[in-house]
Amino acid sequence: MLLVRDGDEESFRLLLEKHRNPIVHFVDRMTQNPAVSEELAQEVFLRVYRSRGTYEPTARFTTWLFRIATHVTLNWLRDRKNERGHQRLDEEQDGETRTREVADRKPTTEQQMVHEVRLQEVRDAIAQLPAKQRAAVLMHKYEEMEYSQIAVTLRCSDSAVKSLLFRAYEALRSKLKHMEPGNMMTGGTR
Amino acid sequence: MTCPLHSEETAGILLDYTAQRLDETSMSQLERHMESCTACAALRSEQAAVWRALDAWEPAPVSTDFNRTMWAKLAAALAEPWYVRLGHAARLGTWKPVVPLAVAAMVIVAGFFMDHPADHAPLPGPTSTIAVSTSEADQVEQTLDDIQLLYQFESAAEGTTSRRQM
Repeated sequence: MLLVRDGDEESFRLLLEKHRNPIVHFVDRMTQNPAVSEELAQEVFLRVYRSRGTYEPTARFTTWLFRIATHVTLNWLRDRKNERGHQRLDEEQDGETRTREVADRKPTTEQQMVHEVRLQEVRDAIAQLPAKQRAAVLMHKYEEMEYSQIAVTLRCSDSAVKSLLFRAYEALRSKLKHMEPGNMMTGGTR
Repeated sequence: MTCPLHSEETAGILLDYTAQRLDETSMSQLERHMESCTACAALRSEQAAVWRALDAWEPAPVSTDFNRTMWAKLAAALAEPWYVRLGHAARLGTWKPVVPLAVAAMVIVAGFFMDHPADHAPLPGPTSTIAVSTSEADQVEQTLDDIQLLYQFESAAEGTTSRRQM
């Protein structure tokens, strides 16, 4: 990143290659909207490029990058929440109900269908978490980030991160309890 | 080992256990504890289920034209005029270090104007008239006389003191 700060485009290309997938996946899981996730990820890299001049290596680059990604995503989620608030009002007035995306998919086998339904449950459980808890879980689970790194990213203390994670996993345990091997009606779908 | 479930802070150890981030000593201690603690054992099994469920959620592959679009956006960003880039910098918060300087400059300028109010006070126009009543003029004259009297009295008193000292 220090080379990028000095105007080395090749270094930015390497940086993009290395961090593209984790950022796109993080944003995708946060937003659960494939149509915008790549666009937001590109916005993250644009911001990195624009603020390269002010970059100071005080924290790990990954932490700084995820801090920008979290900021961009939380902003998008906040804006969307406001939009959805208006949409919901319109829907209530129309008296229509929304159909879940999973109902539109055409599974080839029963196993695939069960797998899809379960995945949808996982996605829903994650989506129902408050945005900060969601970000903390995704960084902890998929990026294997330390508590201190998540704390820097979310601008809070280590103990606050532990608390966020504990409450988030508590909610997930309650929602996904039925997926324990002993509680599953059909096994071997994964 | 005390039950880690007693507080949120220590309960994190169970999350670390499921994430396989515990060192061997802590892991074996916790496993021994879970043999007798049903609450911790239940939480471990529920947390493991959550972990497996999250493992199954594979991300969508990144589209092949991601880089191309990215570079196109970057080229467009570089071609933006300076004032647009300045706007972006402001949004990104790169202007934040300038704030203390701006505030300091404003304080200095404000101090200058407060110190020199007459220099910038609007001058009365040639047509404007200052209405001063005769009683106000008398009061001013009286005050000036009083000040002069006090000044003379003070000078006389100082002269007397210096003579006595000699």
